[in-house]
Amino acid sequence: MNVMCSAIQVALPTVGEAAVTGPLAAHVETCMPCKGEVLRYRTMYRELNDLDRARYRAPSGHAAAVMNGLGPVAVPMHESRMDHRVPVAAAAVVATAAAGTAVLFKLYRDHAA
Amino acid sequence: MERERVESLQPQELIEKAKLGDRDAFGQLVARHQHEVFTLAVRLMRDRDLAADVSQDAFVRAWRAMPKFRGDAKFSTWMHRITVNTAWTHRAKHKRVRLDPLDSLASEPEAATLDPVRAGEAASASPTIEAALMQLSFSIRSVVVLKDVYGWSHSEIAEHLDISVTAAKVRLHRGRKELRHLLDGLQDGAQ
Repeated sequence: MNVMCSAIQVALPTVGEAAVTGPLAAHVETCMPCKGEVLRYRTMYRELNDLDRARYRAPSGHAAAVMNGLGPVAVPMHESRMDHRVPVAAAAVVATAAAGTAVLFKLYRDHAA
Repeated sequence: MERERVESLQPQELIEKAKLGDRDAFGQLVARHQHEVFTLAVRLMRDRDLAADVSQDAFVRAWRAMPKFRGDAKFSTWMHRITVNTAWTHRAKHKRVRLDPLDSLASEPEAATLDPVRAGEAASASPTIEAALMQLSFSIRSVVVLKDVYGWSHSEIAEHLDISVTAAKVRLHRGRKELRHLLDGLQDGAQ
C-alpha cells in the first residue's frame, strides 16, 4: 500500500457519496485495490440510502398505547396566546399606574417645596 | 362515521385539526407515521422494547407540542427530530440504570427479527447493512443513521445530539470506516 492508497482510505469515509477528485481520482483509475475499495464504499452508501425506504412494523397496540398516554388536550395556539395576554396587560396597567403615581408624587413635592 | 371522515383527510387538514386539539385527527397522524417513527427508534435504540417506549413517548411529546408546529418542515421530519431528542433522553436515563461502557461491542439480535411492514421495500434493503449498523455504538450509530440514512446535515445532527459540528464529522468518519470493516466481516461470515 503506497501513500496514495492510504490517502484513499482516509478520503472515502469523508467524501461520502461524492466521488474522489484530482490526484486521488487519477490514482483510483490505475489501482485495482483502491478501485475495489471505492466500489465497496459506494455500495455501502447506496444500501444506507435504501434503508430510508425500509419500514419495520410497530408492535400491535402501539398506536392505542400512544392514544391512551396522550393526557389532556393540547392547548391551541390562540388560547395559549390569550393566556399570556391577560397577565401581560395586567402588568402593563400596574407599571403605568406606578409610574403615574411617582410623577404625581414628585410634582406634589416640588410644588410643596 | 367521524373516524371514517378523519381517515379520508389530507395530511395538512389532519395537522390543522390536531393543532386545535382534535384527538381523532392526531390518532390518524399516529396511525400513518407510527411505523416510520418506530423504525427510526429501533435504529437509534437497537432494542425493540426501548424503541416502542421511545416512539410512544415521541408521539406524546408531539401531541403536547402540536400547537407550536408551524409547518416549516414536513410532519414526518418534525417527528424524526422529536424522536431523536426522545431517544437521547431515554438513552441518558437508561445509561443511569445500566452502565454499558462497552456499548460498541454489544450486538442486539432483536433488530434482525423485526417484521418488515412493506415486504417489497424492506427486502430491497440489505439485512447485512442493518446488522452492521446495530454493532456500532449509540453515539456513532446515531450520527451515521441520521446522515447517511435520513440525510440530515452536519449542523442538524450537531444541534439535536447536543454535540459540535466537528464532533459530528469526526463520529461520521469513524462510523463509516467501522461500518465498512464490519460489512467485510459479516459478508465473510455469510459465505
